[in-house]
Amino acid sequence: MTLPEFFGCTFLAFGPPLAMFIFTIAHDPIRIIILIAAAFVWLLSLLLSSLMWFAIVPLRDFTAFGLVFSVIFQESFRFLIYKILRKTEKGLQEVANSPQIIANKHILAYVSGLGFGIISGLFALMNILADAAGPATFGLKIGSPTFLLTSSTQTLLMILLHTFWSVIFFDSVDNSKHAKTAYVVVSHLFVSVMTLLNTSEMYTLTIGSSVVVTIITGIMAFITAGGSFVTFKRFATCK
Amino acid sequence: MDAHVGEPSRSSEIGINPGKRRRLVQPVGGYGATDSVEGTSHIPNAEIRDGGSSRRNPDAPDGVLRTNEQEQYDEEEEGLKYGAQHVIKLFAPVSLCMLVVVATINSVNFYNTKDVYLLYTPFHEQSPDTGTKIWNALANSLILMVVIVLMTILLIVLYKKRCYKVIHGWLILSSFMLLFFFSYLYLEELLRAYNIPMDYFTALLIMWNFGVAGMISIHWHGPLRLQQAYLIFVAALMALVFIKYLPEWTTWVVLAVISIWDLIAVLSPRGPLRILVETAQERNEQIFPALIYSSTIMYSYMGTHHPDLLSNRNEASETGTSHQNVGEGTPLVRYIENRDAFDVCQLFALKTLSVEKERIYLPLAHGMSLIADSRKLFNISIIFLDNAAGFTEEWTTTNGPRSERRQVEVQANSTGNQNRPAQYRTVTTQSQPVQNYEPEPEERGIKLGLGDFIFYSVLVGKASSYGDWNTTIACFVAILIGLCLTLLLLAICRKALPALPISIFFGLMFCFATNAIAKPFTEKLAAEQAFI
Amino acid sequence: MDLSRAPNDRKLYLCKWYFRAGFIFLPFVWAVNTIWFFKEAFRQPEYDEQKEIRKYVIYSAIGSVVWAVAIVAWVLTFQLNRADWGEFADSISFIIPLGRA
Repeated sequence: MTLPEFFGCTFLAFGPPLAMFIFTIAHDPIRIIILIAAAFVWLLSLLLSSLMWFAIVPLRDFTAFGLVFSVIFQESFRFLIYKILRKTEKGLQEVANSPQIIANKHILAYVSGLGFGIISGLFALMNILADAAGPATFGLKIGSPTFLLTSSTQTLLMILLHTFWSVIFFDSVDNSKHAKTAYVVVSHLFVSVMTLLNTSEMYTLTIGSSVVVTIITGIMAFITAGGSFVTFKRFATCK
Repeated sequence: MDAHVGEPSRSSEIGINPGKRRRLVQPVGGYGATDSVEGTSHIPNAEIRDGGSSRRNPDAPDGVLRTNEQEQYDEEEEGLKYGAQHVIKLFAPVSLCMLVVVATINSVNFYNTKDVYLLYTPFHEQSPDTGTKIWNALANSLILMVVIVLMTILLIVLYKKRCYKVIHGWLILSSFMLLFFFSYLYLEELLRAYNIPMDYFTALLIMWNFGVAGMISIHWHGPLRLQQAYLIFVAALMALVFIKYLPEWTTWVVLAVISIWDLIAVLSPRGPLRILVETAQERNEQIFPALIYSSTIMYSYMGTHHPDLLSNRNEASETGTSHQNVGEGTPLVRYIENRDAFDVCQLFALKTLSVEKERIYLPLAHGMSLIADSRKLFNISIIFLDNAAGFTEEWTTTNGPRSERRQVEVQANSTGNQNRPAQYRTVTTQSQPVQNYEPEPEERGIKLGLGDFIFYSVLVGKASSYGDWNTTIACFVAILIGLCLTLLLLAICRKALPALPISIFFGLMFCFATNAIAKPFTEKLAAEQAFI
Repeated sequence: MDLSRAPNDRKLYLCKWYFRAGFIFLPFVWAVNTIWFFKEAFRQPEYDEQKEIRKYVIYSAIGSVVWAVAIVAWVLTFQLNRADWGEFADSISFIIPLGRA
């Protein structure tokens, strides 16, 4: 159960993001660059939060502390990349091949959100996956046998959530809808804090709540991006 | 080392130094031909310029349409536009090269184990004392750097003295080593790692085919993709060699030191790489294909041995139709940008001179093509002028409704062929569309020295050799961002820039920071399945 | 290099050269030749040299296929009979696999 499990979990976590990347990002060079820039910004936020966690030695054993600060850092860096992208918008317009990227403001949000999501997903799962491919398997003697499965599911949810959050966040800051901004931060905090329960293997609760939040956030992002029931119906029936 | 990003054809032409442009299209009809050409007083002089440009011929009539600033601004914009597309064209090979190295490091144990060391690194860092290790690493990298500097200077001297044969011999020898010897080692270790039995016949056949095809496509003609693939593989192999045979700490110090050296070599006024690039621009040559990864077509010196082909070409030029045969000598490539139409439109190539058995063929600009990104042809006029007569003509074309008038003049010296009068040929692409040309939007590639590939890969490979994927990914992202910034700077500065310093600095920083600080944090999170 | 910018006789020269080079045990070069010139030989509007290029491309293709079959056959034979051939197999082995647990 090592190699099949490895492939299954890899595609569970990174399959949908990969598809999103291929169909929406890969064809446009500027989007790839923005994606990587977003990943870089996320890395910076991670470094800062781990520095914080690392520096305050007495609290190092409390994951919750590092986690909360990390969420705050990530959200502030989301704001940072928002600022950067809006500042360089004019420049981007000149660089971009299609005027579409500026005309539709949600594209930038989507791309940078996916960048955030993919890099955070990679950081959360890559090492586990590398171990999974190896000679041994998880959960044989200690730990849950569903460790890999739950981790990759949660990773997928986080990647999707990051994308949705960015779309909502960018729009809410644009139109100064503070409630939505707050929703992004609070739901991020909520999902992250819920995952703390994973140590006691309450997977149904954590993943269940994450799925609910993902669906709600996804719908919100869809509406934010200009979607409605009518457009969805039109899309579903291929009209 | 050959670490630089550059766009020789472009910077030479747009160059800050307009005085230089006269020498631009010096003919290079194969390496041997250059000298005989210079011996004659009829150095063909071809010049391309656009009608509204401020860098016009002094004896050309007035008619400046655009101000200097405007021009500069447009070029900047054009540079950026061009950058965005080409950045990705570099990302792909750089990532591929890193991928090969990282995959190998993770699957083949051989490259991880330290037993043998390079000759240049006599200190093996075996003492447990950190101070001694640092001292060893510094000494090693100093020795290695001295070797590299000496090699670079030797290369420059040879290049300056036009000892192309020696340089080529050198390059062929080194690529021969890599393609046969190190590939053989690689194959052996790969098979051993996966425990696959193989007999000698098959192994030798594979090596023979692989090596010979590589030599042909790198040093002679081959499909572009194959050439790129081989260059990537060679760079990856070289990186693996460095990772394997350099002591632990020396590798890191070498990475730091070499990017500083790169900075000096490319940017300082007497830096060897700068001299190399400038000389190449002056001579309007390609830097040796074995040293440079070009994101697009590698122009090559071809067709110098075919007299009938040349007459063909002259006919083609006479009738004013474009013929398919551009690519002789080194074409001068230039973007012409149209402001109100979609996109950058570009390229025409200049055939320069061909020498065959002391005969000088008519250097005619021919086979010009102007290609629009949007597959649209623009108004263009191409004028062949007789430079000897000192005649310059301002030629105007009818304007297309959407395209601004742009004009291209080509002056070609038709001194080689006496029975041919000075001729004026005009080709308007609208009335007579350039045939036989497939629009090729990316003619002008960014060039990245293979050395950069090697050291990027060394960094990422070294990071992955510690077995932590997060460090590897962080390193990878940091290097790509560094490359992005370098290319952005390239678009702004428009001259050859060292590609190592920013990327390697970012890479090193992120590698150590992630390894020391973020790794424990993310490991803890992963173990507890807490997601941030 | 870019074929679409090369003159026709140059293409022919290259194609011929690659074809000839293939005879010194270089099936890979034949394969490259086939793929590289395939478009020139079959997808381009006609020109004088095309016929000959087509000929070389077809011959190269045949050659590389024959080689491929031969190599696959040999490798299969070797892999299947390696254990039976005993000492002889070991003497021609480039890599002798380690035993697996």
